[in-house]
Amino acid sequence: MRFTSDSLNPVFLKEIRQMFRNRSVLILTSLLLIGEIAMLLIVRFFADDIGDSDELGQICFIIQMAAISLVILLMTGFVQCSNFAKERQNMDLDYSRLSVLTPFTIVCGKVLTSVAMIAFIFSMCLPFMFIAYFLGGISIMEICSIVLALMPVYFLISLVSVLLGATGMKSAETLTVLLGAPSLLGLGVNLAIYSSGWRHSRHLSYILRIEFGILLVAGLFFAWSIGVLTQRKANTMFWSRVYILLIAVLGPVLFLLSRLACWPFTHQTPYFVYFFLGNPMTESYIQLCVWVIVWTACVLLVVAGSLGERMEPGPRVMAERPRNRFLRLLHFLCSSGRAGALVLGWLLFLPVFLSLVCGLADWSSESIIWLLATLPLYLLFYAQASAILVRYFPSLGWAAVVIVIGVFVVFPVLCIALCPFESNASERIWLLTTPFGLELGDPTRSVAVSAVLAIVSGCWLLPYYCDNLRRHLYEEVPPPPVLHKEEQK
Amino acid sequence: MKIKIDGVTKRYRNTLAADHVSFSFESGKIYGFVGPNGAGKTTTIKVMSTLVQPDEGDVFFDDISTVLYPELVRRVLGYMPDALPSYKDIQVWEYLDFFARTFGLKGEKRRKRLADIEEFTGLVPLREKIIDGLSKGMKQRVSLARALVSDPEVLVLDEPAAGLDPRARIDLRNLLKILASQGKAILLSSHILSELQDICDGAVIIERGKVLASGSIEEIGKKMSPTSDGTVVPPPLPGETPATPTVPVSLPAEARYLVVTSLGASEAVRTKLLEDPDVLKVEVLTEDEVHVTIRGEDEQVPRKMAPLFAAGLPVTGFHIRKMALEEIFMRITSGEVQ
Repeated sequence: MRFTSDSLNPVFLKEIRQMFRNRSVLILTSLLLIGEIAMLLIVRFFADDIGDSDELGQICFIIQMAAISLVILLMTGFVQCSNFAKERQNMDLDYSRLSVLTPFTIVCGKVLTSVAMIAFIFSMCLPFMFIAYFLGGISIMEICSIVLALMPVYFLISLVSVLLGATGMKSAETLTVLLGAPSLLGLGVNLAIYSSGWRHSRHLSYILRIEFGILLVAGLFFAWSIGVLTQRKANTMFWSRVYILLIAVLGPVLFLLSRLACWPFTHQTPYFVYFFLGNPMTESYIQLCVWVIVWTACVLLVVAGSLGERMEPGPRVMAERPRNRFLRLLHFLCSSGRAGALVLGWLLFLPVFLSLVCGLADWSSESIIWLLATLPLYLLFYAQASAILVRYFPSLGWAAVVIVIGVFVVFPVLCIALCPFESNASERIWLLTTPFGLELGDPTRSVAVSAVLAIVSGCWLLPYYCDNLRRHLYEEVPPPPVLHKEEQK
Repeated sequence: MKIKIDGVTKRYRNTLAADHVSFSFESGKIYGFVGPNGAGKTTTIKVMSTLVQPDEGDVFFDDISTVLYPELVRRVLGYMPDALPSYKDIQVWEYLDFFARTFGLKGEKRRKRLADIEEFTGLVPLREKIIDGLSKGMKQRVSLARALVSDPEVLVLDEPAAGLDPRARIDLRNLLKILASQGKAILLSSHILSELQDICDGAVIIERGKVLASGSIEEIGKKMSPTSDGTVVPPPLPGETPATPTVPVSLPAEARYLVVTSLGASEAVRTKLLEDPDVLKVEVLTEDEVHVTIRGEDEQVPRKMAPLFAAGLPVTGFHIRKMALEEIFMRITSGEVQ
């Protein structure tokens, strides 16, 4: 540890040094090893009482995985999150930020530490896994597939721990365990069960899709962690927006790639396409549904995120604009500031909206799709309405969002609840400004109402959007100053 | 390098922690940052250190804004907070090595830099110790070493001497003098005013988030003497509460305070001095000592004292009474907390 590479992430190096001196980590790893040895002794001496000797290895392996998962949950979830949260509370992390260290490097260092700890635990338990294999009842491929299936869940727990630790809130570690334990139990057990039938390619394809989804969520937590560590008034939303934009673009790209890959094979789906996306010929509807859900989630995340942002991007964000105009446009969409967020929200939503309106897919009977289409529209309307309020009454701040939600959602719902109307039509009119008034039988009208609300508020804000875009694109960026003596030389 | 704090304002909910704070200091000088508890010192220091964003105003390091380019400023700034490092499972050298890496120091350069810092701060015997097990004074040294790791041009130290024993204080004072002689600009916040007096070239006095005075200690002493309504508050007598004078006297700004000592001839000295129209006030303190308030510059003082010797009075000496930082501080602040 004394002579380590200069290219190593400094946070990772510090964390690893700390981890191997941490008493909790030493106790947990010792307990894990003692438990493994005890389990093997029990299995060896009480094999006849346990039952079918052919399944001994499988039983051993399942117990091992449960123990490993618990230790990982405690080490990466509890211990690391607790250390990180304390670092934030004591301002130790802030002092290390008074350097060239960026939030990205810090989060990378923390995540790398978790990955290293997971690898360390598995390498420690590897001999016991081999013993389980030699006891019989489980193959090497099954062991590998179960371990690989659980990896994204461990990764997700690590990122939850980093995200909650980054907030520096008290009891972050307890919250991590509370969130991590059910996900480990639910997702992990299901994936492990599916993985045991790895020989069926269909199972593997489902597992891969679920794991892909888990990794998408983990990536979002990664971006949020960077945002949490970024200083106020800086570009806090940048990485989250870049990530959401990438996810939104990834869907159509994958879809097109699968179509292109299928094109020369008119009768047969290529193996890899089938593995990653299912059969594009027979499952295109499901794929589209999945991506509409993903896109809607992206729009909701962007627009909901905009509610907490300031109206103007701020001088620091403006100072770090790139020189290239096209990159500036992307920077406008991805940087902090409500205008960029709302424009990005519209841009992400429009393809879904247009495909619905133009009838590219026959979804008229699928109410869930219409619900997905109208939710972002309502959210866009609320976000834009609060932005309008803040423009005229800047002192309102967060209160504007509360007022808008109160007036357009809570008030009508309360009215309906307190004084029920005789006719459904009257109720529907009251609920026009809420997503609760959706007429599932007649989706066109719901979309029309929500679209009108969103478009009218959008038109009101159009000059504001244009002005922000113009400033972002055309205002001159001053050259970065030179301060350091060495740089001046 | 010149550091200019320009109208920094920071509000925490209903508390105005810093209210248009403005002052400046430069390389090779040590400036004291003085104020009662809750005056806004730490907030201002945190704004300077880029840890806190100001609501208004900015801090400029050679005309470079900390609000716009905090990353640049961090490269030339060393900050020693009032809070001490609290890691339970990291050794001193590992801690310093981490900070050296965060500044991108590599290989032999990093090792040499760390060895120099450990030597300079006297941490060589402690380098293998766990930080949490160190005494407060030793932790202060680690904290100072951390601030110096990047060889910063500007050092901002928040209460560095708090809780140190007398020897450690003297050591710290010597270290700061060496650093200032190396051309570093140092801002030092402290409550121990007598120690600041010894090492500071200038001071900034802050209360309730507002800067009350700034400049060299002598300048502040001169500036603060006349009160805002044009009256002059004489320096307090030993044992006297200095905040409010009993009888404010209308005096011009260029008044000087003298202490004249004699061999039991205070009354005669008083009578003789009052013959001069530029002598505004004479107070007999003891049989041997009188305090004189006189109109004029420093250079005119010996000439004004000449009649005492010409009259053959047993005068043993006289000197211009300079105000100590502690005195200035007590005079200028009201002690109110926000």
